[in-house]
Amino acid sequence: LLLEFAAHPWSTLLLLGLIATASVLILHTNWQALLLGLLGQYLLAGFVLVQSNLIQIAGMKIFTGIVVGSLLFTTIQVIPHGTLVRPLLREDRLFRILGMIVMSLTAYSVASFYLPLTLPFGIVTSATWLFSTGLIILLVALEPLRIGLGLLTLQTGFEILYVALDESLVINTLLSVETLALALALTYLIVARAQRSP
Amino acid sequence: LTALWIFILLPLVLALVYWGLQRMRYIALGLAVAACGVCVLAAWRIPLGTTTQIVGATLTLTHLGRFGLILMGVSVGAVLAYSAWQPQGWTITPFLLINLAFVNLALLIRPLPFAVLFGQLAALHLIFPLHSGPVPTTTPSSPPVDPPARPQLPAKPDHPQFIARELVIRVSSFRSRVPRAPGELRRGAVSYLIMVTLAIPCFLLALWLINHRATLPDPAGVIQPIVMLLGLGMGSLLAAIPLHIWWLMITEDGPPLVFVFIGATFPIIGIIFLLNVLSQTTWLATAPQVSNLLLWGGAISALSGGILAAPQRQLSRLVAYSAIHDSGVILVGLGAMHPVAAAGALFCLVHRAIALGWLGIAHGEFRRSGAGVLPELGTVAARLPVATSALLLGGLALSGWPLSGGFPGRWLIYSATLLKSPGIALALIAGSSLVAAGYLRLLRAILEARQPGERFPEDRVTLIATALLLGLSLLLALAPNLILPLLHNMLVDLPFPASPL
Repeated sequence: LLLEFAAHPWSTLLLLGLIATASVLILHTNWQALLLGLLGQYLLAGFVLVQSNLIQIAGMKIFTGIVVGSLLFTTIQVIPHGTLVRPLLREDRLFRILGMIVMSLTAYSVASFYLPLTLPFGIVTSATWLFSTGLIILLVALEPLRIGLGLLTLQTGFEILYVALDESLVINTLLSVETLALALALTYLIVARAQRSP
Repeated sequence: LTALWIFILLPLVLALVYWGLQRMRYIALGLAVAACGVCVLAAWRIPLGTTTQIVGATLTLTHLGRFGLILMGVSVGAVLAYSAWQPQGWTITPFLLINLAFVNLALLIRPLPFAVLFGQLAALHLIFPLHSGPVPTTTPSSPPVDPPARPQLPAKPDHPQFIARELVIRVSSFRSRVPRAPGELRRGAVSYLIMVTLAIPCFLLALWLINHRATLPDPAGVIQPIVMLLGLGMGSLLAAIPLHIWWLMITEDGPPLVFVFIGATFPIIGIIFLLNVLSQTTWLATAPQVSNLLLWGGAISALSGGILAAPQRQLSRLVAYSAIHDSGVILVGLGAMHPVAAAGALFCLVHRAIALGWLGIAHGEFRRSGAGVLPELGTVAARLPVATSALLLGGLALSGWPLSGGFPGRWLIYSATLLKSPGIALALIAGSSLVAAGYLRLLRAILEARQPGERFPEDRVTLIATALLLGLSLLLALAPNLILPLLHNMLVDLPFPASPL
């Protein structure tokens, strides 16, 4: 797998970008940074698909990401920001970094397992990384915004993998609709929590 | 445009109409219930095999699809009718109608990946009613109740009975012991959302592997991952142990009618999906891995559900674990791979809706009274005779108690499983007895509460609904042959052995 990284410099670069956005999503406590991280993640996921010549679907996924980001941004504008994301203690940060390392090792072994399926290298590595990131965010998240970011990351990872398996435009459009429905449900939960907070 | 569109367009239009007619709530609700009735009638009358095309897919009415459409229409109609008298939040009517439209679409559409995606879309809409409605409170709204003096369990930490019960209770409620801050989000909605998002990839990947098995390097070796993925997806949907946390959470803080609706309809959708997959792939249906997973997964859920239900002091946990036990029994019925057991599983699926209906009604009444934990529950129960009857009837029916509507289906499952795997049949019977014991403990607590005090006001609708469900349950118990032949017909496409028991 390490040799594969050297043979695919663009995929490696995109993966590094995804690692950077994941670090923002896992470690940051500022909601603007979190939304920018999510948006960056959608853009990079779109580029991963462009690299595999799935340009039409890549465009759709990037557009979906922009709509999701706008939905979350608009929602956060109408609620008090104090309760959105709780501050992290130093031990908490250390735990999350450790979790990221464990998850990257897991993603590495899962990616090695899937390579025989003859899927494009960039897709396998990005999808497994996103899926792992989503899981780690879900494990450590307490607030609906962060839980939502975890679910959206997980969904993006799955979508990238599924696009490589099934290029049907209808199915992929439906997957994007699911993402929008998920984002709507999340906005509802974020508002509901803000209204019930003392 | 064929008649099949009625199942999708009618609920969607009525959801919009409800929004428009919010000031005339009863008229709007009446229209919504009527729409569900029309859907049920249409499912009954439209000939099997009717098809129509939709972008890249086909809508077809099959035996299983008809079964699902009828059950969904009846469930949504019943919940909406009951919510007219017992409000569960304003979102329940429009979102249940939207959910009905998408579930109907999922039941009709082929190929199956479309069904999975529309199923997810339907499930996501339930977040709104799940998170609305009155927030559960632990502060009694009724006059405070003095718990009666009753014999307590031996408080010696080294007493075996004490240790066993404490262990089971702590294991079964480890998540609820985390203190909840005022205003904190209801965890049920969030855990439900996580479950829905995680289950769908499992189904989609399993379907992809099924469809592309021939082109993969090792077609025989692919059965194991398919079974694993289907097992994870089905386990999440049916809240099988250990994928049941979301179900515990929503029974704890979701509106009773909504969690009852989810508990009754998710297994219907999941099992129809599984039967559709198995009927299209004989190689998978006859693979021993599928049968083993269903049998053992089901048996573990049924037995653990019973073990965890028996010592519960908290009503919501008792309801949750008895439903988990029932899901396990249904899975075993399918795993026996016998037409009789499978018909029994479908019978249990029908009766499950009735039993959960009782439990939902009772849970709502108890929650309003402010009691949710023994021994207070026993004292309040003596003052809520109708709700208590519903609770005991529902609990005993879910445990497959003889003379309840849950018994005929159980009997078929036990008979077929005893031949195939006696150990599993015994585990089911043990689980059922433990669930029944959990409800009988409640009955004991009621009998021990010697000072019933003044009766709490109970709605007449609660009485009517309880009596109606009792009538239906008795009908199923005394005349199971009314629906068993119909259930047998739904299984014609499955590769089961031809001879019945």
